[in-house]
Amino acid sequence: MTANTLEKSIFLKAEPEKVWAYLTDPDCLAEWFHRPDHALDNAGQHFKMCSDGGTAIIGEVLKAEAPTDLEYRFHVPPMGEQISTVKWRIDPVAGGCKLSLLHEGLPESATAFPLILALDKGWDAHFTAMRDAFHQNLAA
Amino acid sequence: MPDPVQSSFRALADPTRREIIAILSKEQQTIAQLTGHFDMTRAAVKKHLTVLSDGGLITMEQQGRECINRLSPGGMKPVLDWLSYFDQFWNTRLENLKEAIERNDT
Repeated sequence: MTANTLEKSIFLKAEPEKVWAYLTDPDCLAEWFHRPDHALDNAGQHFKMCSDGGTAIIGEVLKAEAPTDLEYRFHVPPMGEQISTVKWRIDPVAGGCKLSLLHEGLPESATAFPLILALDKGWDAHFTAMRDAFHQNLAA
Repeated sequence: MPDPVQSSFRALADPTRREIIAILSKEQQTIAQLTGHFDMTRAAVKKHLTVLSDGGLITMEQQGRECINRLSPGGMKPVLDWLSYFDQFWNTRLENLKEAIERNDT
């Protein structure tokens, strides 16, 4: 675990196959993320998603082993050529499954500058969320 | 006494001020030089600079008759942190996912 890595996990009341669909199927992804132009269930598949603000996410599936392991790398053009990798892992547990996320290769702070400035459309939501987070940290 | 983090965000909430930040990230500028980039008065630019300065994002230093404006990298740190950004990003997305996936749970 480096400073440039994020790790998260949540528990979901759903079968691994359903969670897998939500990570790979364009219609399911559209419900909680962004709709990709291809399903993400084949290694080597290139894909593109457009955020609400119009920012494109361009990526490639590195590993797709249904229904447990999915890895893809992507870059967001305002981030420059910086590529980061997202690894999903689905582990069955009683009553559902545990979904783990590992986001590696996040750029150093300074290179975030162009993106932060480019985030105009998403800015308000972004900074509201961050402000809340800071306040929680300050209050803790 | 205003909350310093809140001041930074307030300073960045305006497109003109973000543009000023973008210009100052390349090089320091006097108020006159900065005014040349915008279709607004020197007084209006100075007002934006004061907000940026209050937010700790820039320093304004008087040198003779000129006021030199520089980016203050330390002040930008809280809002330039990728981990904070993606941390929030994934928190929101994962909440959306949980909601979507469990919505039609039978």
